[in-house]
Amino acid sequence: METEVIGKLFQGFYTLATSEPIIGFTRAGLIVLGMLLIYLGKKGVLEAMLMIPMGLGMSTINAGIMLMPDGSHGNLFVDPLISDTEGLMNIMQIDFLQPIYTLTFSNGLIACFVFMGIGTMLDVSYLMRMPLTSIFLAFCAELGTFLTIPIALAMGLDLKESASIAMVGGADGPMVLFTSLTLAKHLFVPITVVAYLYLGLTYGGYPYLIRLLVPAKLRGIKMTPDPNKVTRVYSAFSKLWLSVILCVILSLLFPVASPLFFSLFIGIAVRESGLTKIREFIEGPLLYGSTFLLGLLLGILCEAHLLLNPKILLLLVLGIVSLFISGVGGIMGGYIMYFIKKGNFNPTIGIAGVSCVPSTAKVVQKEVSKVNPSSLVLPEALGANISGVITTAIITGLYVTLIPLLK
Amino acid sequence: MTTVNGLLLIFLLTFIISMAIGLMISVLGFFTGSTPDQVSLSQQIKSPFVKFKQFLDGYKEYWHKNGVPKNELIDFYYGN
Repeated sequence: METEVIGKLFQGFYTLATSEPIIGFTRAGLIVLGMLLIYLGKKGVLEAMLMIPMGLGMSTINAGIMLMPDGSHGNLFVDPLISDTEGLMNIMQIDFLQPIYTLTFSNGLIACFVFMGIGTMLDVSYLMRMPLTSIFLAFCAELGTFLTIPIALAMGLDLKESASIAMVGGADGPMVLFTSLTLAKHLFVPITVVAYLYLGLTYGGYPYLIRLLVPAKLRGIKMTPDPNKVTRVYSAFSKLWLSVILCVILSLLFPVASPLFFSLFIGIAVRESGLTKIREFIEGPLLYGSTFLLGLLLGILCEAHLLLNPKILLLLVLGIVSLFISGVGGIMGGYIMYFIKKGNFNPTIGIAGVSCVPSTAKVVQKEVSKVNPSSLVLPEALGANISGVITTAIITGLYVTLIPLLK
Repeated sequence: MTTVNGLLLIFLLTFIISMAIGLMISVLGFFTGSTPDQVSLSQQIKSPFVKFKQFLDGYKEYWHKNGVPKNELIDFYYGN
């Protein structure tokens, strides 16, 4: 009797001790993992902006499980599985993060906000200088997005689930969120968590892949401009029109992904139109606020009950396989360009086609600078990076439209 | 459509659409981009679009200089 009273007083410990062993151990493991993410974020191995709120959210949600009035275990943060309108209205008045989850996360609004912020940071002139090369590199860096589907099918996932997890190879969080919401809603939480966890890893993991696949001699290549080719300068006006035309054409092609296209290109349009105050708002409060809430929600969604899906281990493996293959594909594309341009191309740039804007481009420049500080590849890397966003958006549109039609 | 055929179609479509967009950006870049003049760094060789705009301005000025009264419609569309 006394034990039960004390247990009800300290419900976090009580629920940890009385839950099924698998749940208890997973909760303890996730509390530790959350702390590890905070440590790795602070150390700069993973993206701190995402990992600090995510790590603390993960640790806290798994510690803060309490006894609900009906005797079941629950929390006061969020219930992502609730679907009926009446239940949702009730829970919105109780769980403090439920309004943010329902009104911004599960409908993809937060992904669109992040995309608007990314748009305001993109200078498309890098892409306009060498569009075909950039797009080709980005296409090669989508290798994981294509090859993971047959691997996932062979491992027992169905086609829609396979396509959703394969999107991790595109390294674009909002696109993964969008695809999994559309194609595999039942796996939306674990896939999104896996995706963002691994996107943080590109910053820490890709440098090793670059060093493994590109010898130091090639990594240090300093590209010289072609004397027969003049470098063009693009006005804000032409960049604005590029964004308008691309947005309209891509939306005509894939209406299903047009919210994402619109979000990206409105960011570019605002940047190039000289709307300074709106740009400051989007790239400041909106982007930072969305990133913070995204990290927080991803951490909160890492609750043991939600993640204990038998498919989670598969998703963890497939997510990293997809990102790895995309990285390899990008470097392969870099090598192809190296041979086409007869050695006047740094193959490291290829991995920037993995569209984790601007992390992969930064990683490329960092690795190149270590070998040859006078080699500047950031403009070309950013061109491939921006193209990566476009190709990932194209694949998202194709997957969401065509995958449901396949038998 | 079978899964294999569908996935191959997606792969091909991605390549075709991506490269078509790359080509479109090239064309747009060609018509709107200006190239820095190699002789005089302060000048730029203007893009065809800017050249066309300059031609219209010159055309308007020619009319005005030759005693043709200002046409509000021309000024409205081609700027003052």
